[in-house]
Amino acid sequence: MDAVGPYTVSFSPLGDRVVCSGDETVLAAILRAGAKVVFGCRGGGCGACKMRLVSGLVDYGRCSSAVLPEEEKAAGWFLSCQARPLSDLEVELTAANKYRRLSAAYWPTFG
Amino acid sequence: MPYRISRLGTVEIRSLDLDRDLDYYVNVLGLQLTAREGKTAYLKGWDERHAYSLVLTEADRAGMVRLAFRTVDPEDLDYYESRLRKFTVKYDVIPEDYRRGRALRFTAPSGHVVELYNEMDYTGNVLPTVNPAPWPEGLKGIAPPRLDHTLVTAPDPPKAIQFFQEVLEFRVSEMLVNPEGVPIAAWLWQRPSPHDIAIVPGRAGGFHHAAFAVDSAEALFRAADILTMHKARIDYGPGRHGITRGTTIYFFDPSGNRLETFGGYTAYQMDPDCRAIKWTTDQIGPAVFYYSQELNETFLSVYT
Repeated sequence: MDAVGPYTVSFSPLGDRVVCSGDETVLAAILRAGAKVVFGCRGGGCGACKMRLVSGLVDYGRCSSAVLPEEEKAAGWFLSCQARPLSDLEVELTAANKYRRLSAAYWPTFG
Repeated sequence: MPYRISRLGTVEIRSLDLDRDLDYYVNVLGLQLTAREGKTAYLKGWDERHAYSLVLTEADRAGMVRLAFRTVDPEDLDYYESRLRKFTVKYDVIPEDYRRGRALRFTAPSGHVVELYNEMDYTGNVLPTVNPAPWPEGLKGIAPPRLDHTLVTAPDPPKAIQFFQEVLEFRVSEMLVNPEGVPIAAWLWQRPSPHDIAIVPGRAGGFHHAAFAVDSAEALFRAADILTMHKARIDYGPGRHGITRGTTIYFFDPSGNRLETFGGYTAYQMDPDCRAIKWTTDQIGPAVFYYSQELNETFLSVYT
């Protein structure tokens, strides 16, 4: 796949945004921006980093069907450690994601 | 009581992409590739004498397919067959598998497919059998000498622990006991080492990790360096477990299966007279991760 972008990924309900190049996963962009979320194996096998897409398109990457079955994909779920954006994205964070801004490094990329 | 199981002989793990993961297992973890047959590959550590100890099979999910223990003697397989009958455990006789003889296959109460076998092709390790050097030069990656143990999850740990103790005659080296005195996790051995298999609470059939022996402190830090050079996801470590005293690095393969380097230089040798060590759940932090003294976010929740 040709890397295109960069795209903007925005997170509701906080409104935080990160820039994500087309060849970067959503999780990698979040961590690079200085924020933190729950993730596990980073290989698409455990499902700990699952997030819900409100709008936009992703390349799902290689995910275990045991943790991300087709019906969950259809309902908007994706694994942030595998998914790469194909457009700007709006992602709804849940309590399970435990999203938090960790470091001062976050602020320059915010807004 | 004699011990009848010589080792955790084989684990079979699912891979989401066999080509990609084989590159990792051979060049980063540094196992020897024995053979590849279509969607399945057979690997082993450089010091293992039998044909293979790790089977990787491509699938649409991660996790464990089966685990297999090798018996000490051929007669031990008959002994276990009689015990499976005695405890009315349903089992299948598998006449042969790749480079392996007859096996007994059954599902443990933890939900795992377990096999017992004795015969597997004896290939020797990578060293000569006459006047060998202590270790081979030119190995790639971490290059652990052998598979050491596995840790699996069970929805009803006391039931699974009891099965391994009563039916298969494993002994408990250490256990984690809740305030009611119920063991919610146990480390079980037959070979004189801290454990061949361990059980913690979780989903039926869940695969927490498979561990490969990395024996010295120098090798431990070298392993962590290699994982980082290759941008592998390290889950915890280098560190030490309170339980078993072993040194550890938890890390993930590219499909998300957890692996471990497990250190023998502080882990002890068991003796038939050793009694179980008890850890209380209020001390689960240092029991699992001795230095940080607390569980991380992933230990009890992330597995395949």
